[in-house]
Amino acid sequence: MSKKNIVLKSSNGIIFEVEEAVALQSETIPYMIEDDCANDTIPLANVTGDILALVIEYCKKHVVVADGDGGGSSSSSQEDLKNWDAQFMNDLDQSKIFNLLLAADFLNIKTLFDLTCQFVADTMIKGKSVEEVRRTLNIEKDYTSEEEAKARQENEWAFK
Amino acid sequence: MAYDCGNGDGATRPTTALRSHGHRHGDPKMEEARDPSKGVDSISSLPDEILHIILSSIPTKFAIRTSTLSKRWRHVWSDTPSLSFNFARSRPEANSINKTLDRYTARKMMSFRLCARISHYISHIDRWIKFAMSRNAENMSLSYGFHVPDYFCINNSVKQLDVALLYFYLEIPSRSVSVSWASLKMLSLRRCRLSRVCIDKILCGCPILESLKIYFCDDDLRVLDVRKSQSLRTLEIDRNIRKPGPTQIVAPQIHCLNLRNSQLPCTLVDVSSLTEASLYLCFSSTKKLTAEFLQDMFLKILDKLQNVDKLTFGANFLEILSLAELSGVPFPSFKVKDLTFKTLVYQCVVPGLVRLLQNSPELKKLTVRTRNPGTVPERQIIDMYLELQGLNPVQCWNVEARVTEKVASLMELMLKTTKILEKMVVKLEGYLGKGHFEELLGMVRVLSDNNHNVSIVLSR
Repeated sequence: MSKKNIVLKSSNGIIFEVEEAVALQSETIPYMIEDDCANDTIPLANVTGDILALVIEYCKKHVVVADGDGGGSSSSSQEDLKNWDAQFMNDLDQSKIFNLLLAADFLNIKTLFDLTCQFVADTMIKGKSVEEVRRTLNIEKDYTSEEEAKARQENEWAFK
Repeated sequence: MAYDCGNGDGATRPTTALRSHGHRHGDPKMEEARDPSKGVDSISSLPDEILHIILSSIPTKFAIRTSTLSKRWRHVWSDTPSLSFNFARSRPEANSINKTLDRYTARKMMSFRLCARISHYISHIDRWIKFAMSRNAENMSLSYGFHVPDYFCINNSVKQLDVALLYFYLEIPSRSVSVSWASLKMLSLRRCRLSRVCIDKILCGCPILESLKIYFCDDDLRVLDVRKSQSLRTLEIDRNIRKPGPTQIVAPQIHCLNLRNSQLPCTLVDVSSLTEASLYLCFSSTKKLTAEFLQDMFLKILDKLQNVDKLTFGANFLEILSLAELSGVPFPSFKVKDLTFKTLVYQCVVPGLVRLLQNSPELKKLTVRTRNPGTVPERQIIDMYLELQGLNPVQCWNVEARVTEKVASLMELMLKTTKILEKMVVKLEGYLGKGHFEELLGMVRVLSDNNHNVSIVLSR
């Protein structure tokens, strides 16, 4: 049985050919196919090649497990996927993580979007002091000391 | 839903164009050396909707802390569609929580979690729950001692409800009040005291309930009859000797059953539509343990699982089946196609396991998940039981069973026992040294060569 392939083109002109099932985990791509470029290359003006490669790696992993096990969502493969996801995220640097998050948002791949959001929340915000979060995320403090104190006073309990 | 991306208002939202502020600050030694993006604030330029989703998944106090990061973040948290408060350990002033809620601006709440002891916040908890209801919270998780207040009985927003009560009665206020949780699909009750009247009332009030979980609930509940819940498909029950929960289960419409049983009696009266079941047994002492009774109970349970496609068994359950097998009790045969054992590999589980395989002629996929492979639990409760009966455990387990302390032997045995198996998966969870793993891998390769029809996966 021949499988239909879809050609995706990143913002910097890199071409990826993937199986339709892989690409269709994105809920945005079907609209693009319908719109105009049915048999053509789908240009993704918002996603660079390195990020698109990551998106495809993720989608390939998740599509293989979905039909490899006879369509069943067996708990064991779910667990394997979880481990794979964790490793996948751990290997990325911060800039890639945020670009991946935006790509998942743009391409509307819900599971990848949730995964990246959860990873950001868990590893960069949760359990940290304000100063640690600023440092981790390179956020510049533009408050005066008084303004910061006032913001803090509003919910003092949350800082203990 | 708050998360709505893609086709809508894409023009107004920055998507891939990250605005890099490019500033550097702080002590460079503190910055992560491996991160090439250091110095770039990528997160602050994300649209609010995405920040809300990020902040939704962590305890609210960490979301609130972001309000002091920078001016950009001043009010971001207050529109986050989820709140999660845990006051089990730290006990902030109730009034300061009230002030926080006053600043909360999201009109629609996806999720509200509250864990607090009622005694600490007795006059405030109602207010907080009403607050969540007024924002139409879809997922609610309430852990503390409380009765279901009158106003909570009618709630058409909640889709998923998780209640944990520390053994207070889950009481539906007065007999005249009925429950109406018209949107509820998933209900989980943990450590509650349940009466039959109460559970019946709840089930009557949840017309589209799909999943019911009852964990360690103290009962007046002997019979759990869910026949009226036409949409119910999944039932999960955890019980132990002190928290027996329901002992008779009447659920002909459910497809999936997950039962963690104790040594107390349990009868599956009717589970005739079941396609998937997991069975575990937890016993903590040999007191009141009667093997004959357990064998009898479990064989009766097994009788009800003959037509199930997918089965999972835990170690203690297998031990009891081993005892039954050794005493020559006849087993039913199964139509199972996908079978999983979650167990350490040791002799006591083997006779039962082998018998299950022999009686499962249609089995296609077999999975063994084993923690700390190679270790054998030091003192088996079953061994202790046999000793109590004046028997020598070593003599009770046959010779074939003893060689199976090695995973490979078990795999070989399983291959021998099955007829049309297509796939065997062995997952070694926990520690196994590299050398041992490779040794095992070598043995598995030999097995694989001798069994061309079966795809064998060994993983750790």
